[in-house]
Amino acid sequence: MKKKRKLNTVRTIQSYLMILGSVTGLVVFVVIPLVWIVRFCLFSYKGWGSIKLVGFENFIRVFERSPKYWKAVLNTFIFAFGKLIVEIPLALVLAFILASRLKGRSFFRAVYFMPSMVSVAIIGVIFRYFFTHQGGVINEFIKLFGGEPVMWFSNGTTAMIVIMIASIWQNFGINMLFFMTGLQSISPDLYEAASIDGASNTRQFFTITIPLLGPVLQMVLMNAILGSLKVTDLVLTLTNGRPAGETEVMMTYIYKTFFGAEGMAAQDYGYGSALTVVTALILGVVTIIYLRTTKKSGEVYS
Amino acid sequence: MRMRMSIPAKIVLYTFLVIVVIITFIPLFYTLTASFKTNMEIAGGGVNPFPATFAKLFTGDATIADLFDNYIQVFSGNGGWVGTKGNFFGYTLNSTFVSLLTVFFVVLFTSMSAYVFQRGHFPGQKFLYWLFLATMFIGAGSITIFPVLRITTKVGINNLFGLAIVQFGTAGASNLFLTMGYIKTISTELDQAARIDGCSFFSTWWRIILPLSKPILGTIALITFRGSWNNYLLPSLMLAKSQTATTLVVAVVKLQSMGGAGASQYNLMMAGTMLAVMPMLILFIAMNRTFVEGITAGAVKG
Repeated sequence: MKKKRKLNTVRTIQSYLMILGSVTGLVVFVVIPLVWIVRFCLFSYKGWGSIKLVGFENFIRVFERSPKYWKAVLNTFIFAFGKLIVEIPLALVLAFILASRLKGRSFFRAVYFMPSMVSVAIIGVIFRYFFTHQGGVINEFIKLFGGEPVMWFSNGTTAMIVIMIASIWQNFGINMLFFMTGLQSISPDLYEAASIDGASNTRQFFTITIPLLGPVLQMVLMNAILGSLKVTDLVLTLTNGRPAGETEVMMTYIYKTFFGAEGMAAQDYGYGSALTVVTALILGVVTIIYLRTTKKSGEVYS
Repeated sequence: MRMRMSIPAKIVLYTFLVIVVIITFIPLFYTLTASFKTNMEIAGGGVNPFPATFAKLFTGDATIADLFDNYIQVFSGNGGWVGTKGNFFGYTLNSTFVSLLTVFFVVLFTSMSAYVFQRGHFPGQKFLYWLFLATMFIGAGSITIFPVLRITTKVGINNLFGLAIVQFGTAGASNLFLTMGYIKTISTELDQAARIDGCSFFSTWWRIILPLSKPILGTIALITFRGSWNNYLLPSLMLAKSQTATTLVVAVVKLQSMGGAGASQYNLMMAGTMLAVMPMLILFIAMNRTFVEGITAGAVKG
């Protein structure tokens, strides 16, 4: 059938014209930029003057002479771990509560999801104001309860905690929503059968809910990890890497090598490209390791 | 999940849920109230969310115009913080224009290419499909933002129109796969009937597929609108040279960074923030279900 069908010329031309828009968009703004990055990581180019082929020199620089970048990589992982360890359990617990037939569940669901509607950059602005040393709402509350106001942004650890809080605030609702969808797809018959067999709620939770939620959990966690490792806008508007690069993350560091930052000129584009490639590889390796280690939870009683 | 709960258990659960609701609301609530305060009031601190003018309204010492003073300032261009022409009315129009244009491009081209990939047969189809699939995993986004900006600068489209085009180009292939999945559920008998009635391949899309896939396209439109309205990094770079033709989110972040170390104009910043956040919240309240369905469909089933 497939082979026998003769290609209709008019139809083929129409097909090409109809996908022209999407394909052009993809090629010009996704494929060509990717090729550009991959090509330039072997060159040295400062934006002016000549483009020199330097081979793997840029990568040697990334691995041997870029302590700031590796510091940013470490920060990124600390951020992702620190926030997910709160965000994911919180989202799970809320999903479990709201999946039961509780009155007002759609209200709660809508409210928890609401922060996802706010621009990430704006969330940075809001939390910057919220945690300001003088007049910031958080410090005012601390003073109200007799505590000492904290200089949140002048210390790497507390500044990082603020970024985590802002990110959790934004994302717990959306993850809760994913978990709820997963929970709703579990057949109520299973619980009924378990109840008849005399299984307690706790037992049902561990023998039915958790294993059957496995695939959803795996997917949600994957997205959450990659999303956290790619954090950009939030850090740019909340701390911009301050103090002294203590909250710099991979993406903001790359951004700054390309575009420059306060008092720092844009650096070599080849070096920036090499950083981009290494970062993409890090993300790829994380993905592979993650999928390998969680493979088991994906294969549940089908 | 069905759980029979005792009254004390319910009280504990609701208390927990309400605490999370309060935590979710507090940052937005304080931002809203701060947008009605004077800068002195905000800097003065305290945990009282209500602006002084609010109480004065009842005693007749202030007018409604006094209450909205910050908004009037950012609207009239006297904010003087984004260059010397803070004109938030203009920025609101810009954001609306860019978002609607992006939605138009995404919906039109996604619908066409999804139809072509689902129903068409043409040379190179597999390769192009694979290209879309591959770029989805690489997840372009901010990682390639530098070469993207080089391209837009070279072509000379660093303006609102160009921004919409780039946002369309980098929107990612998940929209395509979502729409393809939807079109798959539309019976091919409808296509055949249309062909017998003399419809070409193209007009079958225009008359049959496009109207029938309205639900999924509506969802994609909403998600795209949100993404464009909230976008920060790309517009901040593409529109960097322009003082007037920028978007709301970029303007608000500029207000923040221009506040700098000295006297930050928190009152104006918060008014700007509310202008950027409010339309999204209103849209969410109005179309909460579509958003929730769209986001879970895109991630879980996609």
